[in-house]
Amino acid sequence: MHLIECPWCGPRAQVEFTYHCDSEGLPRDWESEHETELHERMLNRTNAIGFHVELWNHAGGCGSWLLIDRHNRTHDIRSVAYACNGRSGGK
Amino acid sequence: MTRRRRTGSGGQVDRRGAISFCFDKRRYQGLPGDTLASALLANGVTVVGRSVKYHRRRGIFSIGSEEPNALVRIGNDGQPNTRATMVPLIDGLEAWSQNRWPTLGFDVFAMLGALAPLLSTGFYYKTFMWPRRAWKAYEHVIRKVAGLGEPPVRADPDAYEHAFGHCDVMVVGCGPAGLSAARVAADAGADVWLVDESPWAGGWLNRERATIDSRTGSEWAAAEIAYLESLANVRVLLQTTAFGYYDHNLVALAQLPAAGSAGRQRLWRVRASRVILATGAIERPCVFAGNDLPGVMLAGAARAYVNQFGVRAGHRAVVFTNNDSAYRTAMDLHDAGVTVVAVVDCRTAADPGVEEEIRQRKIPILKEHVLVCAAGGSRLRHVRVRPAAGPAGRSSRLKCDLLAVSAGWSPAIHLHAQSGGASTYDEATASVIPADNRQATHLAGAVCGRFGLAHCLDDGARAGAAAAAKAGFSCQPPRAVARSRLPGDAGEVAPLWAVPDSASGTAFVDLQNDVTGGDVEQACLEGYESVEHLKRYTTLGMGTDQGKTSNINGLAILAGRRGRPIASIGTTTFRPPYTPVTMGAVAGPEVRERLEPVRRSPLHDVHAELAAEFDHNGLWLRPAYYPAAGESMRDAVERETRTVRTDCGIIDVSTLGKFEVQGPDAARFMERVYVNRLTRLASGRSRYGLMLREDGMIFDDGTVTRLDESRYFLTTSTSHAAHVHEQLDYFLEICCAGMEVAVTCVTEYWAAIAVAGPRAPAVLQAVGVDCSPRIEQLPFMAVTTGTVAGIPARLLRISFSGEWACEIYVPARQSTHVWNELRRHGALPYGLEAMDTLRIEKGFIGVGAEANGRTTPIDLGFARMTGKTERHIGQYGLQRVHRNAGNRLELVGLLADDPGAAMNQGAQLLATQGQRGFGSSIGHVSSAAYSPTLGRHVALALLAGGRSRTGDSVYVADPLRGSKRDLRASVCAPCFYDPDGTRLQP
Repeated sequence: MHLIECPWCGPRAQVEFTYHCDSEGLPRDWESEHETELHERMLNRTNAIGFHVELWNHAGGCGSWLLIDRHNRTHDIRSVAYACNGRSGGK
Repeated sequence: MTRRRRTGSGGQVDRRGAISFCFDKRRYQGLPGDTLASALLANGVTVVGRSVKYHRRRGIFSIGSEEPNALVRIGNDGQPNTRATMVPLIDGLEAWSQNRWPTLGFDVFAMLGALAPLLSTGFYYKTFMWPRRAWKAYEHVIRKVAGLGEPPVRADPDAYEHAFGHCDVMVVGCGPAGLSAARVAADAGADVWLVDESPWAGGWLNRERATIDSRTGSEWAAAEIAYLESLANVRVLLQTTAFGYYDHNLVALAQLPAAGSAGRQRLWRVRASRVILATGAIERPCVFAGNDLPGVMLAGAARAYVNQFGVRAGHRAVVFTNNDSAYRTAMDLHDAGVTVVAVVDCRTAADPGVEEEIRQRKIPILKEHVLVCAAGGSRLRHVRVRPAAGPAGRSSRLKCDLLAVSAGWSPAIHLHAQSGGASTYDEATASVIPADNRQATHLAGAVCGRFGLAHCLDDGARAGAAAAAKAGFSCQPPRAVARSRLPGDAGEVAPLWAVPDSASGTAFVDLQNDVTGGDVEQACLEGYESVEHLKRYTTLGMGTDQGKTSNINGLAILAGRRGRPIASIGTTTFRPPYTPVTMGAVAGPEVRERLEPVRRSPLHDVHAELAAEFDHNGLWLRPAYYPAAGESMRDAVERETRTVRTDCGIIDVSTLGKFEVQGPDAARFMERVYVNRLTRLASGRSRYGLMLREDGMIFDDGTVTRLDESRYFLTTSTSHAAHVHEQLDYFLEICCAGMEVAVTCVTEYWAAIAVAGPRAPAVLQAVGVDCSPRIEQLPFMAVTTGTVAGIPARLLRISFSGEWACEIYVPARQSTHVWNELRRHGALPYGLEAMDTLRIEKGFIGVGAEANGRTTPIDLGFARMTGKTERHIGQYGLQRVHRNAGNRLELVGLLADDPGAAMNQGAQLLATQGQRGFGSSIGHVSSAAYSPTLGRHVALALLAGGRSRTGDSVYVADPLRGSKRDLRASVCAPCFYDPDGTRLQP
């Protein structure tokens, strides 16, 4: 079980967090996104071995949306940051 | 057996005490300080079980958790596969042998041993393939013979709990290295946990005649542990196995209650800043014919039984070895009064010190000799030895009843490997030793392949200091290391895996799974050359011991066969748990009613008073129906359904997910979240809304109510509420960044009661509803606020039943009064079952049934809702799905030709009667009910190209539920009642 350093709550156990998706699956700009862009990010992901920035939600904690830079084989975590918008920081 | 097995003195047992215990119904005596294994040996019990495949007699083989043979059941109908070596003896202990029928002495299935040549490796895969139909007959017999132990029949009587811990330094292993590490780290001020699977601290110090600082090893260990236990920053857990080493230094521990106490088994999850693995090493045997006979034992175990328990495992011993450590066995056995017939050593020279010790005791040493075979029946009778370089056929016989064998020591790298650490093959010790760490780990002692006692103490001190320093504690320079002595502990071996000419059916590699050297060679011949394939094909190392004493021998034989160095072969993956963990401990207290939380509606007590039958809906408990006295479920549901159609019913819908969406951008946000066009939704009006996923499939349905320009009230299905909340949050945060909108979950603030039926307006008038417009004039899909029975309420004119209906939202704490007032004025409660029947009659979709995650709004007949041009979730997905739609499953109604015939949810639809096999299904029944209103069974179905088949006949097949004949049914529009919706209007 991972230990994730939530920027708001501090180090917490993985069970408090929900994995959402790889950042490859996130929209660049949802409002103006083209259909092919959506399908690329939804269906054609590389899933390479290595560090990936992933979107997680601290659902069992402060509710922040976090971008976690995590190695998908070793599970090393390089960084944890608020997802975007500065919104989470205020929670 | 006339001669005594127990020595007159020595060891750590209390000779003044006596403990009575039972093994296979026979009563024996043991001593305080014994394990079940040592007590059985002291009583001369040589055979303790039968092997899994050939049912060969097996005796105690080791002294620790690596034991492959001595697996017993503790207590009648108790826990099976318990290692006798790990059970502290307590008064009244009852143990039973396994894998024998009817008795250990006479076992019917022992004849399987004679069939051994036929039961070769891969036997199951090869033999039972033909004839195919006969498998059912084979299986019956195989199941009876196969398997290890028997699961208990009654429910587990033991109690379990989960616990969580944190520490600076976790030390795994309480031997010399672990004790030394713990002391240094603790003295530096770190919070230290010290755990060991054994009931005694000290590890091998209890089992050897070592001296440390002029004390015996066990005295030194006792003093160290007493000191550590006196410190406030140290926690010592014995009988606690660190069985798993997971990500980010999480160590899982299984802690047994102290022997004889009725405590709970505890499963710990401990997050440690640093972990010190001082897990030691496990001795391994060598492969030769008859190496599984009772009386063949690991050399370390043989001396450990003498040293720790004062038990002679035999009276005439032969020692067979490729390393110096077994010379101590010869010394210790001799000094305890055992006749040591010879030390058989495959090497040319041993350490001069230990050799001299043996010579002083006048024990013959047969150098450059190997053991050819062991022979005997229910116990060992003799062994045959020959010069290693000599011709194969010529061997001499040595009479003995104990063969102590050592082919070296394998570091217990299991936890290191689980943590992601690398390993490498070390030639000097002929073993796999740890290489790089992956986590915040330190290794100390024999686990590194450094075997000397002085090394262990030294290593431990160094690891303890390093770990404490890394955890942020300043360390004094390590104390002067204790002076220790243990002869022949250098750890070097001359590799010896299998005696060359012993390719016999009884030369075992894996004792627990009955895998022989021949099996490994044959698997290799058949092409199973990878270690992982070898393991799965032969079952080598797949027993409950996970090959602790056998894997390395198997690898070496495989390497020899392939003519490659062992280092290039690799090892199989080490996975948790290190030793088996009781499933109950994994489940912990989270069983039965504590398995998951139960959510109850604010009206729950009212339903209970009405004797409702409850059903689970997500985490919620909801009334399924309210049976009157003597009423069956079907009667109750029909009555409740009729009440709504003809009178006035009320149902508790407080469990619906409820959200408020507010802010200047709320309208824009709603437009993006729902597939419907919502910009023109006026304040004070509601609409049925569908949320999609990005792939175009329906995610959830519910209602959207516009309270004012910038404020919406949403309801969602009960089961999806949490998920919808997360989606809205995600969407707001990630996709609509910059929108000024807040989403608040208000599910628990509002109770909700739906009042439905032609008499509902009259009942509401009687109860007293104060709102504008008057409730009976409130248009369908309109919302207003006011009071109901004096309680402030929000009233929504929406209907899930097809009758005139209104949902009343009141503050949760005041809902009981409203419910009781409605009841007092003639409203009758109905439950989920009647609600479902009403919705099916109307053809309303259910989340999970019709909206099953694979259907789009167009599939379910909501095409009119779709097609707006503004970007919304699921827009592109929906377009893509229907661009090349083909023959998609579409929502239809089904009416069986026989109105009395029930169609079940999940039944398959066929184009022609009796069709079976892949591809014959053209759809399935998604919801079905008996409609009391129509007096017949009706069903909703998802049918390929369904809407164009209206009027056609299909066949409803339900073979799994035993229906023999397929029902003929005609396809109709998915609405069986009031298709024009006239009854909804005021």
